[in-house]
Amino acid sequence: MNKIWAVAWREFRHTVLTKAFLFGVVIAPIFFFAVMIGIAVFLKPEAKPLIGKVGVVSPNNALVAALEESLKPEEPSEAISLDDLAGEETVERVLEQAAASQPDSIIPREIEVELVPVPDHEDQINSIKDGIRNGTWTALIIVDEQAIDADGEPEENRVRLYVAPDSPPSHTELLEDAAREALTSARVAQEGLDPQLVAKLTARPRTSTIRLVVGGDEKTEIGELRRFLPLGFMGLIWLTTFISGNYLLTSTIEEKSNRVMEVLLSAISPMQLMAGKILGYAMVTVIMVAMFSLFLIGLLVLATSLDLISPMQILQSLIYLVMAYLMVAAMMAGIGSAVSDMRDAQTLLGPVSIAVMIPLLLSPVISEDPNGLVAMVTSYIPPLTPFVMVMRLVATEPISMVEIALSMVWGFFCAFVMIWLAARIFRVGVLMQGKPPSPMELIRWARYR
Amino acid sequence: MNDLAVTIHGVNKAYGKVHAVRDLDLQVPRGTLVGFLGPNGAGKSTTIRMIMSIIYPDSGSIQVLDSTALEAKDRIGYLPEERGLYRKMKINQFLTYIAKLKEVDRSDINRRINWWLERLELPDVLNRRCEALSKGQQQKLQFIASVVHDPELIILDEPFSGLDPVNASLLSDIIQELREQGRTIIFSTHVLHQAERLCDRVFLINQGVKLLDDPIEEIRDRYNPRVIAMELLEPAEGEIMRVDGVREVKSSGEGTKFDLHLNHDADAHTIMNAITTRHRLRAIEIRKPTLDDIFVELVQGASDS
Repeated sequence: MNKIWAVAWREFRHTVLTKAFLFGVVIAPIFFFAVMIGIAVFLKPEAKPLIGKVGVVSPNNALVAALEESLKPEEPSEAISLDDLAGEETVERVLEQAAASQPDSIIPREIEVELVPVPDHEDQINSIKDGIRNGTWTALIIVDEQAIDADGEPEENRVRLYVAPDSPPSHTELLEDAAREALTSARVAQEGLDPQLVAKLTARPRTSTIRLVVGGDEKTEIGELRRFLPLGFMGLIWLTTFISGNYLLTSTIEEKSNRVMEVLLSAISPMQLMAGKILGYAMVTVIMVAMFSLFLIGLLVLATSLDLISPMQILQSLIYLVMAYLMVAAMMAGIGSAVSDMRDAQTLLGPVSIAVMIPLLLSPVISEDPNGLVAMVTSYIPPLTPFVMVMRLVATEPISMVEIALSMVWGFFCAFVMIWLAARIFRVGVLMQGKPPSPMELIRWARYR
Repeated sequence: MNDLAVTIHGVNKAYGKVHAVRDLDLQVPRGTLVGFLGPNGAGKSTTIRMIMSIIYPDSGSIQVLDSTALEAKDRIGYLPEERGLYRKMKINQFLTYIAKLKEVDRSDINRRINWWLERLELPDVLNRRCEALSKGQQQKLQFIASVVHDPELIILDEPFSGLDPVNASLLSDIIQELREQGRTIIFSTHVLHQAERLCDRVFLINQGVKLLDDPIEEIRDRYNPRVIAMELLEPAEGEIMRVDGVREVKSSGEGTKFDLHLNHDADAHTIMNAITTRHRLRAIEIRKPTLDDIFVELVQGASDS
């Protein structure tokens, strides 16, 4: 056991105490998270001010007043003070701000537009177009006569917007939106209705989903969070086990390519070496899971939604994490021992990568219907078992304890078979050099005495 | 305790259709320095790897230090033919790691590492990375890794390759010292004069089959070519053939140097006495067979048959 521990500690130490690991696994996620929050909360992207004359051609100048209303500059949004908000509200505001910070939603804060009614004369329109080109006019909006008619056939290009060659997307989007909104208001007004009243009446209300928790509690939940929780949990396990597995793969290939393998095998058996490596990278996985879990749990705490998952679910998820790690480690150890360089490894990794992408692709189906046929069947196909089961565990619909127990027994049985097979390949493969083995050769290696 | 450090009995090993080792029997007495010779692809590394339990024979048995090789691993030192180091690892870390794998007492690891670095004339390298060493220094570092745990049995696969004459001599001295301390040493080499100078015993294998397994003096006697080499002070032709027991005379060096090939039953000393009474000599000696001669003769003979 001392020897296995010595190998494990070396692998752990030479992975975790490297600049690459510190940057990749610790600093990069913190930095990424901080930047995302920072952008969402504190930064409002600045758009160029929208200034100048905008000509409006519309039947009876009906749209000018409505356009003026639509183009009123919005009040600048304030930076969020997280202290003033409830947890749930905070997350929502952060998400809203993040959405608002998307490039297609940048709105100019400064709008000083002079709307000039223009008669529908070709000469005047052409003169304004020339003015737009040379910068004396900002834009021209032309609304067809039929556009206001609610009974008219819907056609393309009933509202045309002419802009300058250097007009930024934020300006064109703003003017398009304003024109559409003004046109809608004009239609409503033409029918004798109050546009503001109609807007109020047709505004989509905000909803709160209150989940009735078993045991009598009620819990307000955030729909998107609920939907993405299974994917988040599965992603956590997927990411950490594959990063660790990749370390195991490269470490084995490195020892083969720098010929240190034979020195090691003069001191320890291939089984001890593989066990040490698997143990070492299990410790690396623990560090990564702890690191990434902090973010996930932090997000749930922020959303006061920590009770979306129970301690039992966390425990079960950890058990599936161990299962997932053993399966991935077995595959990576087998592949790493069989090849002599990373390029050859990529060839063998291809099918494995495709197989383990399946849970990611199936996540919407499994989250929506955790007891459906797809979820049930994929729960018993290694190496999908732990990934699918974790998604099912934290999905809305509870799954039976019998199924959890059955999947654990079956999953660990499969994991140990995979480890056994990997070990059989490992002990032969680590001493082989040259071209990567064919599947038949791998089977032959596994059957060697 | 058995007098034999290694006993190999009826071992076979094949890689697919290639029979690397056939019915091999070998015995290595404790405390001896044994040369393991053979042309490329003869099966030396396969045999050594089986002794080290890195790979296993298809049939036959191997006993190492009174147990299986796997159990005796910590009492065996091994320098593989293909040298390997962790390039980015510091020398201190590398040697400490190997020492831990060999279960050296932790409190003694630093002392041993420092002693060996000094003995192999590698000062002030402890905190340097392995890749920063020259090829010869890396070779010496790997030798230290094979002996840092003070093994009873030391197996060195081509230990002198890549070393300059000064370092080869240093390593040769250290190997002698280890033998004097009672260690059993097996080393494979292509440099036959080194084997000849160092070894008590020689194994020669070719195509997985043992051709020779004897103490070096016995081999010399057995393969004695029965040649007397001499150099005269004055040229002499013809008369030498008249010495009884001389089957053939080959001359060189302007009629002063001769190789006398003796009859099978002739006594070399009687013939030498006869020659010294008849001729004035600069030098005369019974030519010893070199290991190179024996190696070539046996390997070519085996290939021809």
